[in-house]
Amino acid sequence: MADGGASTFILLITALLVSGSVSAILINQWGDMSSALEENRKGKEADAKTSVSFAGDAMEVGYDDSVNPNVMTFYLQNTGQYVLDESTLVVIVDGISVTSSITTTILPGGADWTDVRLLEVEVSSTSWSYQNDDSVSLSAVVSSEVTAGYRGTSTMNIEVRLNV
Amino acid sequence: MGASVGIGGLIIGMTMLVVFSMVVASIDAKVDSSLQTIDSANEALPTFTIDDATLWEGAVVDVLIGGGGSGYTNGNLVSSTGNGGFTGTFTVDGSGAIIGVAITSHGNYSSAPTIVVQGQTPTSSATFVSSIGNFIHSNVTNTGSQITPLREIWIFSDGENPTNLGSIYSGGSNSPHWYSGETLHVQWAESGQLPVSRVAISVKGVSMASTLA
Repeated sequence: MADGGASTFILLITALLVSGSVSAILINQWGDMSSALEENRKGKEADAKTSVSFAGDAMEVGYDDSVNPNVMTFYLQNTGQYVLDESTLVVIVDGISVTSSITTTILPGGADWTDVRLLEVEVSSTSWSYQNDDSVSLSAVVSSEVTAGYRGTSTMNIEVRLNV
Repeated sequence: MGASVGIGGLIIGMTMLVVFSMVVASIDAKVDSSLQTIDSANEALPTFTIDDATLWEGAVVDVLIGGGGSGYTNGNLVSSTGNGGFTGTFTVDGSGAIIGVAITSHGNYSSAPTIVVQGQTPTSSATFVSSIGNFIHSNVTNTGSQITPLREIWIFSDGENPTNLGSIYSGGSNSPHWYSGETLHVQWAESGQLPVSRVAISVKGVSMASTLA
């Protein structure tokens, strides 16, 4: 009986040790899962609070063919909650990136592209030969300033008509 | 001994249950928090209409004081020529000389009207010099449920010359917001290239345009 009691006691202690170890591992794993969820949440939050939209008249996008290269002018509005970083702006016209020839101006004048301000965008390309009333596909991708360690991204796509 | 083993097993089981329930509750809370945060970032889009938009090419855009005169009290200005609808107000200094004018209705004229003081007999009459230019008038109505700060609204003429509504609107309200169901009478000087044929309004990613009458 004494041997039986000792072995039962050993079994109990073993069970306690095993269950304690399993609990520790599970808690650790769940902690990692929780951290991953938090990281994912912050990334999603940054994306959700980052938004850019076309502003103005899509039927009257300015196009200057009197200069070489031709210049297209349009406006983007920060419609999100995070400050946008205009230096990250990527513009795609009819599927072709014109990122290397972008001039931006924040309106009204200011250092940051907040939700109050517009961004005037002038893009140019030597390969363009658009005419008045031509329709072009315009896309813009922009990221927010780093906020709480994260940078959100937003994309704008629109079909516009050029006004030469 | 058997009883103590049973109690030990029960304790282990209960401990595991508590740990599981705490973890599940924690993860649920995280997921709920995430969804709430993401939901809060997604605002409903504003909806609005441009009820009308008119270009007046003979609006009084400026009134200069040629001579302030004397013997006036603060009062109103009108035009003595044409029926374009100009009205304004003026302020005087201690001697009754006019020192400031403000346009309350720009009107529309074929030539610069003569501006006079309404209904006062001064010691010495004041003179004014008016100039006319282009003015766009538009009524816009917030047909949605969103309350939008005026500073987040931009107005364009022919897709250019963006003008911030918060910087130009002074329509009898000190409120810098556009409330649901509210119609704003917006007017602004158009100094860009004429002729202007369209006006567009952009509000939080929603843009609408209308042809000018």
